[in-house]
Amino acid sequence: MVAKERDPNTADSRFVLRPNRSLSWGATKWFFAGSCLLYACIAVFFLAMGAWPILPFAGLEVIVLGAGLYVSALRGKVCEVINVTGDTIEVQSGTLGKMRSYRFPRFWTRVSLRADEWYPSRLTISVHGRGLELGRFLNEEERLELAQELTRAVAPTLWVP
Amino acid sequence: MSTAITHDEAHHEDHRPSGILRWVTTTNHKDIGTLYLVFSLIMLFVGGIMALMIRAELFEPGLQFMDPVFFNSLVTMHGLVMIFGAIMPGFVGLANWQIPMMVGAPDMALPRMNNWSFWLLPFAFALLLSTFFMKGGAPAGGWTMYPPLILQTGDAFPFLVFAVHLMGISSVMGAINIIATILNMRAPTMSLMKMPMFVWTWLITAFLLIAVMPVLAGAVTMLLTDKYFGTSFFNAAGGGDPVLFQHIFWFFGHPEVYIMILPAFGIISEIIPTFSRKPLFGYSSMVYATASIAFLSFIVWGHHMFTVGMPLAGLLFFMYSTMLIAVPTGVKVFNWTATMWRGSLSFETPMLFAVAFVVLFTIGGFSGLMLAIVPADFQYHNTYFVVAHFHYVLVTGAMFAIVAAVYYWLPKWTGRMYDETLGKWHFWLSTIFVNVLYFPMHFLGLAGMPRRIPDYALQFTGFNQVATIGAFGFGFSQLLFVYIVYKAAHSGEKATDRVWEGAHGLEWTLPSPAPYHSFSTAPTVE
Ligand code: HEM
Ligand SMILES: [Cu+2]
Repeated sequence: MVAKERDPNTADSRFVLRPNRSLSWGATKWFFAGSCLLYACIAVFFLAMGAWPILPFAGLEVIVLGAGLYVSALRGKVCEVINVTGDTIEVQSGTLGKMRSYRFPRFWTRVSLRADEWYPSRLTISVHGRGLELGRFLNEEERLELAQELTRAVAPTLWVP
Repeated sequence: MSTAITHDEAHHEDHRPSGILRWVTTTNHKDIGTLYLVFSLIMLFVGGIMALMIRAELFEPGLQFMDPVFFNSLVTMHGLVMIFGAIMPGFVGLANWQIPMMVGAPDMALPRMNNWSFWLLPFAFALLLSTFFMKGGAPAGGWTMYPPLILQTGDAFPFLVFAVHLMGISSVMGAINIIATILNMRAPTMSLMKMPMFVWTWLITAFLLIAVMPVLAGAVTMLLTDKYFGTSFFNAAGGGDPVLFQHIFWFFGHPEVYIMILPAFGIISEIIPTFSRKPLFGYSSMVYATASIAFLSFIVWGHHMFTVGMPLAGLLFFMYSTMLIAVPTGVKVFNWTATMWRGSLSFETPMLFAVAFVVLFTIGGFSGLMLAIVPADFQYHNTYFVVAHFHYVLVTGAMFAIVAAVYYWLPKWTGRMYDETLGKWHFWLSTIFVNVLYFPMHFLGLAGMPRRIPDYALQFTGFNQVATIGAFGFGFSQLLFVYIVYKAAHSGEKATDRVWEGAHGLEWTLPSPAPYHSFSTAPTVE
């Protein structure tokens, strides 16, 4: 998801990039709890029939499922904020609360998009050949559109308010 | 100027490994989907060669080419290879390709795990196939691995168990990934009830997979400890019960057969609307039907073991619960038919396979219903009738759906069209031969020919010869499929974005899930 704000007077703008996440943490926990319940019922049913080795496998599996859901939720917390103000571009990236910040001189900065038919395209913002990749977690359409918007925003001379 | 950018970040993952390493290390869903599909195709031919050897032996009564133990090994390995090596990885490959595209996600939720899920499979199957060269030969007790027979396997036994474990781990990790992707990575406007049917069916399938895989893992582990560590789970002499294994195995096994058909239902529900140029009839009833089938699949396992001598109440329970499955399955068949009804139909290769699926899968469903009738099953159990049943649902069901899906989505994956004329040839050859192959098996079964034997009474010769001819015809027709896919990928005509006139859904058009709705429109200046 990309949210953008633009100040019509100064041509300053700000982009907030976050991955799409369609399951809230609360819902994740409910889903996990429900799954555990079902899998526990199955394992206990067989335990009662004397087939106890199913239980440890079910347990292991539930741990992997939980870890998978947790990691997926955690990766949903990354965020990139691009502030285009005056003659600097400031990019903050990381998870909320733990953001690293990078500054680029606006007039020397290039936004480039390398497209590939097979792999996801890659959007970089760079100055003198050193750069930072943006929006790896976005989907293709979001990234393509961001690339256009960002290019316009970074090059203020192209703006006709 | 104060940039805190290091050289490292600037070239973050810029150098992608090439050659074989690219495929070993890849975390990209398209690469992994391709790997799965290629693997599945290879296994289809490995399992197919075994099947042709079986059919060659059965062309005439008496023993022609092999000894009975080797024949039994072929039957066992054919089952394992086709189920765990061809059909399941085929569906997982399709899931990898399509699910991220269909829900508008950039990739699968857990790309690294995705890579592991795939790469376990070649190891598992290398182990499994290597058992052919071991002392005592490959496992020969049937893919269902019933004790005490399977415990007579020679050196191959622990390898069988280990291979099954690896396949299980692979499936479970694949399923967890699919669940995380579908639940968590959908584009903002895609609510659950707007998901494409293929995505829905895979979500439910993944849930089933996770539910039953520990049961299989437990079952084979108990076999292992019974054989090597002196336990007696299934050993009557030690106070155990061999029938317990059947309960455990089929508690896994029946949901497993639905794992192999639900994604097929999803595929057919995508293809038929496209070539009928109409939306799917009864979308929500399709979703509920899928969920009911999944639920019912947990309580019908006993229909595989009517003959073990269970109490009458058990027989009746499993008989009626099995018949109940016909209701949601019927809903689906009705909906597909209703979607085609008065549609403006066209019959490109994917549609041909989809229509054949509806007809031929239904034949398999009906023979399933016959098998569900307890007194009838006493007669049919362990005969070729069962073989006919499950090949109609698995070959003309699951496999036809995968083939249909490949024709349908290949242009989207490669940007190139396959050769329609050759595709039609492939369809007609496959469909004619597959019926020549499996239909006579119904008659053989009703006449009493048992399954899993290398020799038979003289009166079964005719139908067996017909079946063998069908088998070779069907087998060789699949070489055409390989050629068509290869040709399309290398020199096919360029495909358009939408490919099919009637196609809808995120994967065909540039999606507009409105991620930019909060934007002030940017002026366009040149
Ligand atoms: C209308 C739905 C279905 C019904 C009522 C049904 C019923 C049955 C019954 C009663 C048997 C046991 C026969 C015996 O061993 O005596 C059986 C076997 C089997 N069914 Fe189905 N079935 C249905 C659908 C399916 C589907 C969709 C699949 C897979 C895609 C499938 C795969 C199998 C397999 C593989 C076996 C044989 C297992 C073995 O013994 O090796 N069935 N079915
Ligand atoms: Cu069953």
